[in-house]
Amino acid sequence: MLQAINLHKKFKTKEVVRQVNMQLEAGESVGLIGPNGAGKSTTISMLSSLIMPTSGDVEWQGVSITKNPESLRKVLGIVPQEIALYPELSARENLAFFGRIYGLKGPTLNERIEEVLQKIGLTDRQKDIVKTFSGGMKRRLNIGAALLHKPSILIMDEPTVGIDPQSRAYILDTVKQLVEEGMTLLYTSHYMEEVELLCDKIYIMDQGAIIAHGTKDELKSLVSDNQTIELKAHILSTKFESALINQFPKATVRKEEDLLTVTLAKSEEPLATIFALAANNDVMITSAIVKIPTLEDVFLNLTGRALRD
Amino acid sequence: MTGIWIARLQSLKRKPLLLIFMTLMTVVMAYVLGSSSNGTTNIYVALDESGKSQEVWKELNEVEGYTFHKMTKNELLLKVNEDMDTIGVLINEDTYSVFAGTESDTVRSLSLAIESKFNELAFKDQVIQASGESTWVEIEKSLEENEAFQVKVDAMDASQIFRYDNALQGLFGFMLFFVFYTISINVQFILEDKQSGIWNRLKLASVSRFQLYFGHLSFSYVIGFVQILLVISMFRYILGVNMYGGFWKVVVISAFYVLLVMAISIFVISLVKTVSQSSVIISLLAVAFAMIGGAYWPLEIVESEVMLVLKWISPVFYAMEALKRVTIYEETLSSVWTYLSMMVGLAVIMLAVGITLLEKRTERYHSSE
Repeated sequence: MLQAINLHKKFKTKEVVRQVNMQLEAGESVGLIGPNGAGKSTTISMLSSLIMPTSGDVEWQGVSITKNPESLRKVLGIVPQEIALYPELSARENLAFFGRIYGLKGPTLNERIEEVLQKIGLTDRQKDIVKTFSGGMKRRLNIGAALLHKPSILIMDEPTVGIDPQSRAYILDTVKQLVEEGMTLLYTSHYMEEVELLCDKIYIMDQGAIIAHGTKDELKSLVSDNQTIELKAHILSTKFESALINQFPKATVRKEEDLLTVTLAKSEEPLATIFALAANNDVMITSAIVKIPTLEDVFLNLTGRALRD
Repeated sequence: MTGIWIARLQSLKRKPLLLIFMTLMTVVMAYVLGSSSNGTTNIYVALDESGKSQEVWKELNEVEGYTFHKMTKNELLLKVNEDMDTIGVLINEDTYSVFAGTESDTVRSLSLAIESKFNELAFKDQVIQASGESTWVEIEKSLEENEAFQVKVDAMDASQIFRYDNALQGLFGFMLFFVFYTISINVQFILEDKQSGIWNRLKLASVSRFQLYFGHLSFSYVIGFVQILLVISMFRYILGVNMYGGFWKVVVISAFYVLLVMAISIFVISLVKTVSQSSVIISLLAVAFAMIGGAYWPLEIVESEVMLVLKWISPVFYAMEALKRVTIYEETLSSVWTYLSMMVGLAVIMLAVGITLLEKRTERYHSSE
């Protein structure tokens, strides 16, 4: 499959990517997350054979693509972060252009255009000029242009940047459908929830290096062995607070107005006890939220800063 | 490459105004500035009633490069008094007067033409008086059949004599100036495609770098060349501008100029980051090259040594000089080979440097995430 081996990229004296190792198996959906300037796009460019690594290698089916990029390019679809379309052309003309570039012609080209238009939901707007499209429609067409030649690997670089929630949901549904149909996916995004939704395996990148990777659960387990419970009640008495501390001596309890935050070991199952203590102390709990760590927390924990800082 | 051409043609079809505007501007500016003569110099002539004057008038109309307009003596005097630029001629039986605001090459050659016609008529009179009308007829017939005397008039260095044609100066100057924009704007599509990510998409579709550059550059070249062909054909065949039999030589020189401008444009886009930056530089260069290259005025009237040295960096200079040589000076293409080879040489260097820098910049796009 597609494998990055000790990928390293230097622009003049600046090290942009450092010793990156990644692996994409057939049919797998892999997420690559990291803040701006982490080196995601450069890594993608090397993985897709657009630029050569300073050192290291990318292998496709066990063969180096630095020497033979053609075999990968035939099966690769790429959705760049930019809207890589001709704004003066219609949606159909754009698709026809990219289809022709991939050697499609005649009825085969028309058939593929129809299929792609249907998949991205632009059949009704196919004759409209791209510059009149909304941001979301342009993004959808941007994806469509990468699908014309039926690639088996799709690399998407922040495909939902700057669009409205409806278009974002549509795109995520489309990508999910592609994954379900067996497409191998490499997806980069700022949005953790997108990566969580679409990807089986996640690589976290920061300052040019992969700082963690694994399944969602594996990554989340890196954060902490604790769980956090947020309790809201009509009247939070200090008696109830003391009872909680007595019951869970290792827990930390913090009170802010009508919110009580309890952090304690994951191994404990405290909800039944908490409700019983509340009843004994005449406290009526109105809500209880058990907070599970998110990928955002993982990133924060690993780098000391938020993903979108 | 065909795909690139189709996409560019479709874009042009949707957005043709810029090309139309550039072509129209060339035509309008060249027409307005060059229309005072339409390729010939207008001369206003008044005659007396004598037969000799009539004969001189008839002969004068055969002289190339001038358009003669007949009027009365009073009308002529009024016109030359009102307009200092008017050149007028008053022809009497044995004398003539030329009215002009300034002593110029045109006035001198016009005086020479009139004088020579008077001399021819005086010679004819002397032959008729001495030997009769039949002898003159015989002499005239003999001259026509045998070309007894073949006189070649030549200056020591004809190329050093300053000749000026207002119509061609305007036509060539504005044509070279506006086509610079047309070509540069088209070459900028390379930068746009690189920035929009289309370029990378095409590379991933296994389109070679050569095909990518050749597709874009050949399209820009053809658009620029077609604009020039339209303009010169219109001026030559519709407006009747005199190109001194050098129409096809003009076409050939223009082909070299378009190549050089295309190369300069790619060099410019290799130095900048954005299309707006390149537009600013192209506008500045187009005006500067036109000024120092002699598009707006003939360089022969420029006295500044600095300007005359700077002309060598202007592509307009090479094209303008070559165009004037093959038309106004009626020289051959081989006599302007130095200008042509300079244009080709510079184009090759600019293309090589420009494409190399652009390729390096492509890598830098990836580092700017």
